[in-house]
Amino acid sequence: MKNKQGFFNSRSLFWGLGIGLIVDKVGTSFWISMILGLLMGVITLVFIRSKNKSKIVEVLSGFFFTTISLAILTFMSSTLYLNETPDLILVAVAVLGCAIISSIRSNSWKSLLGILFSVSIFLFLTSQGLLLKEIVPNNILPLFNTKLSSLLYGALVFYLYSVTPLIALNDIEDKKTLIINYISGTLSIILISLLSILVLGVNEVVMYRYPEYGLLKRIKVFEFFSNVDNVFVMIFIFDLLITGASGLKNMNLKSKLSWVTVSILLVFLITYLIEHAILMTAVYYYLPLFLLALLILTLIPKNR
Amino acid sequence: MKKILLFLAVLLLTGCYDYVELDELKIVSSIIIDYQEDEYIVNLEVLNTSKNAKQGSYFVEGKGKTLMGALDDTKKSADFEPYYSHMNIVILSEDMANEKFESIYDCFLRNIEIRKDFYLFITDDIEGFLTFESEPGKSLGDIAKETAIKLIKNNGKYRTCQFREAANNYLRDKDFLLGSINVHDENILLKNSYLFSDSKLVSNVPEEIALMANIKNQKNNYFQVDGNDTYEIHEYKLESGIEKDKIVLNFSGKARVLDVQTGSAITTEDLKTMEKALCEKIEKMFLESIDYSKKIGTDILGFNYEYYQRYPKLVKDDTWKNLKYEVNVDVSISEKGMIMDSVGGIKNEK
Repeated sequence: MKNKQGFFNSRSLFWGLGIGLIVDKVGTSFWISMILGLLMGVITLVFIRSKNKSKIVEVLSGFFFTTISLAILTFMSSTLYLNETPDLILVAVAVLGCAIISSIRSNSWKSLLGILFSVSIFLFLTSQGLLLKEIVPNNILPLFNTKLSSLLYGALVFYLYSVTPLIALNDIEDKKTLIINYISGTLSIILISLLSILVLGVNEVVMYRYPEYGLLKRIKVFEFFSNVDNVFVMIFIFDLLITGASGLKNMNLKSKLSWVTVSILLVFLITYLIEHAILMTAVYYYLPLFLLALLILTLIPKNR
Repeated sequence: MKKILLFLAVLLLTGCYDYVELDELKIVSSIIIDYQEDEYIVNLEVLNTSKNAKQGSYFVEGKGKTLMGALDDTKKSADFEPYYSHMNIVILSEDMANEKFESIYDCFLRNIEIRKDFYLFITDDIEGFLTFESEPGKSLGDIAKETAIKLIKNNGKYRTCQFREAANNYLRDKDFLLGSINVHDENILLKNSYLFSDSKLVSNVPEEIALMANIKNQKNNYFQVDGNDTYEIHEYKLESGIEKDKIVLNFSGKARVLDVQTGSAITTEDLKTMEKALCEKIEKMFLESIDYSKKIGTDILGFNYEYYQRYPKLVKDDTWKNLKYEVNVDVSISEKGMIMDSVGGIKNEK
C-alpha cells in the first residue's frame, strides 16, 4: 500500500489559515494563484534532490509542524465547539492523541493512512456533492481583478503552505508517491476554495476565520438534516492530527525522557499560543515567512 | 498502558465540560431590539416547553449600553440560560434601525452560538409584540418566519432578508430591503418594505418595487400582474446581460389567466393581443422600478454590483445611473383555467 501521508500534510495548513489568507489578498482571482502555486510545487518536487535533510532540520520542522497543526486543531475546537473547556485540557488531549498515533509501527501507519484517506475522500466528495445546489455562479466574478503582485503573493502562499510540510515531513526518495499525494491534496484544496467562493461569496470567505466550516454549515440533506457539518469537519481533523503525528515521527524520538519532554513542551507552547489572540493573529499573517525559512533550510544540501 | 491512557482521556477529558441539561436550556425563538436614550433594550422570546403551558412563549427583558450587554442582562432572570441556535427572527424598532443598525453585524457574526440565517424585520410598535400571546407549541418567531417566507414566495410584494444576506449586502455596498412587521388583533401583519442604503434606513418603498427586488433576487416562485386582466406569472427566469454601456434584462416565463374583464370571446388573435399587452406591462414594471431607483438615487436592484462583477475597472459608485436599460419580455399564456372564453364573451355570443 502506498504511503498517503503526503496527502494530509499538503492540506493541513489551509484550514483556518491558508484559504482565508489567499482569498483576502487575491479576491476572486484566487484560483489563478492556486494553480500557479500548484505548478510551482510540482516543479519543486520533480527537481528536488533526495537525502538532503539534516537531523536538526528534521527535528526542527517536526516540532514546528506538530505545534502549528495542533494549535490550529485546538484553537478551532475551542472556537467552534468547546469554548468553555480550558485550553490546557484540549491541548493535552490533542498532544496525547498525536503521540499515540505517531508511535504506531510503519505498516500499521500506512494502513491507518489508507483508511483515513478513503474516509476523507468519501466525506470530501459527499460534501461537495451536497453543496452543488447552493452554488451562486456569479460569486466567482470578476474573474480577473487583481494586481500581478497580489497574484504572485497568493501563489507563493499556496506553494509554501502545501509544499513545505510535504517536503519537510515526508520521505522524498519516493517522488512518484510524493507528487501524486501533492497533486491530489492540493487539487482538493482548490476545489474546496472554489466551492467556498461559489457558495459563500468572497466577503464571507474573507470575513470568517473558518470559511470552510461556514461552507459545511450550509449543507442540508433533503431540507431536514441540517446539522451534518460536524460529520464533515472530520476532514479537517484527520489532516491536522496526521500532520501533528507526522511531525512527531519526523523528530524520531527514542527515549521515554525525550517523549515526555517534547510532549510537555508542546502542551505548554500550544496552550500559550492559543490563549493569546495576538499570537494566533501573528501566525495567520506571518506563517508564510516561517515556512519560507523552513523550506530553505530543508532544501539546503546536508553536506554543504 | 497507552491504550488505557487514551481510553481514560476520551472518557474523562473531552466534551461535556460546559454541558447544560436540556430542560435548563431556554430556547430563544426571536429577539426584539429597541434603542432608547443611549441604551439597548432587548426582549428575548423564549419557548415555553412545560406541558401545561397556556402560551407557546414568553418574553425576558434585558438592558445595556451595548447589544451584547443587553443580551447578557437577560440572564439576571433566575435560572435563565438563553440558547440561540433555533432563533428564527430579529425584530428591530424603527429607532434601532435608524440609529444603531450597524451594531448588529459584528456581535451577531462574531458569536458562534447565534445562527446567521434568521430573518430581520422592522417595527414601529414594539409594545404590540410584548403582549402577543402565541398558542401552545407556537411562537412569534415561528409564525413570522413562516408567514414571511410564504408571502415572499407566493406573492412577492413584500421583501425582507436573512441576516447573512443583509451582512453580505452591507459588505458589498449593495442596498437592500427589510420588511415591516406588526401585531394586529393577535395576528402578525407584514405590510411594508423598507429600503436600507449603507445600512441606513432610507424610506418605505412601494409594493411593486419590493416585487421587482424579489424577482431580481430569485426569491419569488410566482406573482400576479394586475390590469384590465389578471395573470399569474410562474416558471419564470430573469437574466441580466451586462454590457459596457447598458444592461439588458431578459425575462421569460409562463402566464396563467386568472381573470379576464373583456366582453369578447378569447380567440387565437385575442390571445396574441393579450400576450403582447402582458409583455408590455411587465416591461413597464421593470422600467418603472429602474426609474424609481434613479429618482431616489438608490440602486435597489443591485445593478452596480453586477456591473462591477463584469467591468471592475470601469465601475464607479453611480455607474448604474448612467447606464441604458433594455428590458426584453417573452411571456406566453400557457393556461386559461377552467373556462375556454371570457364569461363576458360567452354571454355576448348567446
